[in-house]
Amino acid sequence: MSDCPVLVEMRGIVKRYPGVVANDHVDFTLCSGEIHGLLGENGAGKTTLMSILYGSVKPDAGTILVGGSEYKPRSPRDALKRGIVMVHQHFKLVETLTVLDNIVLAARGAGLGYSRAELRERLARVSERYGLYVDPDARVWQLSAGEKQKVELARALVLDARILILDEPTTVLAPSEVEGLFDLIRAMKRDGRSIVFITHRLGEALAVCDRITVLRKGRVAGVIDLSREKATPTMLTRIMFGEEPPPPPVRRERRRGRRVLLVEDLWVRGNRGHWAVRAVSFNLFEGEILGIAGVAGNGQLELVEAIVGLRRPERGRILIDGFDATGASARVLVDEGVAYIPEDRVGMGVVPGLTVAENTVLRGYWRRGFYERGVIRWPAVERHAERIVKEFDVKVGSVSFPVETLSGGNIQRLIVGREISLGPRILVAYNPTSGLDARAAAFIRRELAAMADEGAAIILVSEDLDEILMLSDRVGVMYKGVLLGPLTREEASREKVGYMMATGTGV
Amino acid sequence: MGLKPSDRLATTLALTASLSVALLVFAAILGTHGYSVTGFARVVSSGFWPPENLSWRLSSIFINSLPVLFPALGLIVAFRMGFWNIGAEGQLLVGMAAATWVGVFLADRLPGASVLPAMVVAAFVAGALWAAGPALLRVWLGVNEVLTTLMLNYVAVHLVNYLVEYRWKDPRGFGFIRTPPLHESARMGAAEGAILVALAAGLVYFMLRYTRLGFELRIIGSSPKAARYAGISYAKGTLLAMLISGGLAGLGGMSVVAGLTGELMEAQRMSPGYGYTGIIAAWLGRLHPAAVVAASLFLGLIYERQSVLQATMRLGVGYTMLFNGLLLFAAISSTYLEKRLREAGRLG
Repeated sequence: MSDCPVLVEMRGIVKRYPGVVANDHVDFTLCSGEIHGLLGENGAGKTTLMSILYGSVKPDAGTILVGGSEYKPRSPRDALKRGIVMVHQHFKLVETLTVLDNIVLAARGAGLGYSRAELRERLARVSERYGLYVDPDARVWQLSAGEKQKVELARALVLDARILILDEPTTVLAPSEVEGLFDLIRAMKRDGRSIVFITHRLGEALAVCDRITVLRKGRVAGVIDLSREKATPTMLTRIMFGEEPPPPPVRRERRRGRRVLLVEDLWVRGNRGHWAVRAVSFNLFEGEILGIAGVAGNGQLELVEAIVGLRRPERGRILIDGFDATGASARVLVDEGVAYIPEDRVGMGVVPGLTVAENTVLRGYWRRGFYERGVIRWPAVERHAERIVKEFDVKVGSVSFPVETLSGGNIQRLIVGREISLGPRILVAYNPTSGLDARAAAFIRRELAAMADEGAAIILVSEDLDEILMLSDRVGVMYKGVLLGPLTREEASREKVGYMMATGTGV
Repeated sequence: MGLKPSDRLATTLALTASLSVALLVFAAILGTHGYSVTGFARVVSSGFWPPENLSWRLSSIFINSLPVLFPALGLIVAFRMGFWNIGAEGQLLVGMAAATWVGVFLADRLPGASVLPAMVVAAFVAGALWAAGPALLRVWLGVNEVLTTLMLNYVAVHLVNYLVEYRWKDPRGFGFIRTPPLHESARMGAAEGAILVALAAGLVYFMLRYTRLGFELRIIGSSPKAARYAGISYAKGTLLAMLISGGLAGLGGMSVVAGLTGELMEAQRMSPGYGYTGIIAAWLGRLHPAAVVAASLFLGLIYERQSVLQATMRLGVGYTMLFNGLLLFAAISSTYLEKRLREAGRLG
């Protein structure tokens, strides 16, 4: 391990946040010309560690050496001077500017003396060399997520980054695009650049990395040199979780009941006035999970919001057990038995400033039992909240604490608990496990599976293809506003669905 | 509502600290302008000391606080839902005009005991209607309520001046621009005021805490997106909140004419900006009814002492406004301090 040429050495890094230790005496070395995987669950401290290297987070303790000399970045500008660039999960591009403008901006910020023409020239050369092909004059908002990522990578290369930190770069990509990214990473390595690849996906880490550092709860759980030892997913899983991984969801029953939802020729506009959903029709049956896969922004959100009463469709019909729910309000739909787990947990799913108890009746405070003779019965609400907190294992000191004191995973447990407690006939879940640690994600998947077993009809929209395939009875794909499929569980192979997501064809 | 004890301590500490800074700044300004700071303190504290005639002075302070207190209670409702009603002053003025109309021109024909209740209703309705305009514009056309409510304040000033000068001027008033005096039965003392305050504060508290409307307003105020998710109508919430907010501001106007002046004069002689001071009281009390009542009583003390300060120290009304402005600064900037203190509390 020590015979490789060490480029970055981080020693004893400590970073505390209120209530958590994100990095607890972490040691990390990066060799020159290697692809180094940084693996761990969400919240294991991967991004924090790399943000410290990138100069955007200040450590509480620890030292860093880059190329043998001491390095104390005060900002990403210092990192750039040492050739360190980080490509974040959420892109740092100015949407209204062109690709070239963004690069010029970054070059000026870093104090590099390139002229605009020189940067255009360098971008062309980098694009050529790595096959990146980004249009320098395209405006960033016109680009897809995959293209934006290419812009970020091209920018890093134009600025001559020697060390590239890629934070969960595959989450924004369709499965078919992932291999292209890996080829690019390998090409950068061949040119002597060093890459830190942050991921929580074992398969990806094994596919592309030379060495892997595993973080668990802010500490280093292991460093594996793949050129020397053979690593298996099981072994890595054990290092990541420290014990047996959480059990996967089990569907006991797969019995399809009556039809509860009919969507017919539905047309819905997006926020920019375009047709986000075009002529979508499908059925949903009791006791089934209908998975809807797709790259974000293909109309999934608009479709789901029309079904749960948050967006008015322009054309078409939505029938729930014969009740015409087209254009009905969210409240009417809650009372018709439609529950919704939105993607935007903190922005929509809860009211952060209100208490846990108040949030457990956000979608039901008007119901009998909570609301009687003109007043809300808070003692009854609190009992209800205590039940949800207990049953769904929400970690909170008291139900009278504001929700903003809860972690993301606990907020999601609260939302899922609340929606299930509505006793829904139809449950719509949008990326219900994104950003959660494996334990919380597994818990929520088990709950969804159990709901379907008990006869609820579930629509699961997810960008996580594995999750879709694991849980669904049928799988549809949203592509440019059109619903492809749905395929049966047997037909829906990973390759087939992935191909549909990327091309919109292949049924 | 749902605060941990340590958070409540943070609020108290932050408010105390920033109010102390505001007082120090004010003292420094008085000092540099050649006024005696101890003199100022003596005049203000003479509201409570010596104890002779104390109850009379206390009730005078109380009556003086009402024109701030009622608008402030109303603003709690609007601000809790995130509707920035800057128009309490205008709503107060039209409420004042409506109460005057009842108290001067209608009181003769009403049974004595019903005059004050009729004034309450008239003032509330007038203030509510004045506030309904901006609410509807916001809901229908998306017009920014800060601008509409603020601009309507100027309209209300001119409306009151028009009524006093051209419609209701006392023909036996020796040419002074003012209405005939209010009927005897239309005058409000501390006892009636106290009943009204208890009712209004109690209802605002109850409404926010226990009714569906109150819960819905709090949800809209914290997260409009979550409100949509809960199926709450923003339009209905906005309209109802503004009717209550404007109505209570209208009661503030009634308390000026029925409790203090006994007649309607030009707007600038009736209100030194009670509606704006109500904003200060609402923030000082952190939008909690009981605390807002306390903050208003304090501001009432300043208003009540104003005339004494003017007479004994020649301290103009500008200083009162300066003092109020500093209080608002303190109230608002203390939220930042409070946040830091809470974070520190969670760390420890």
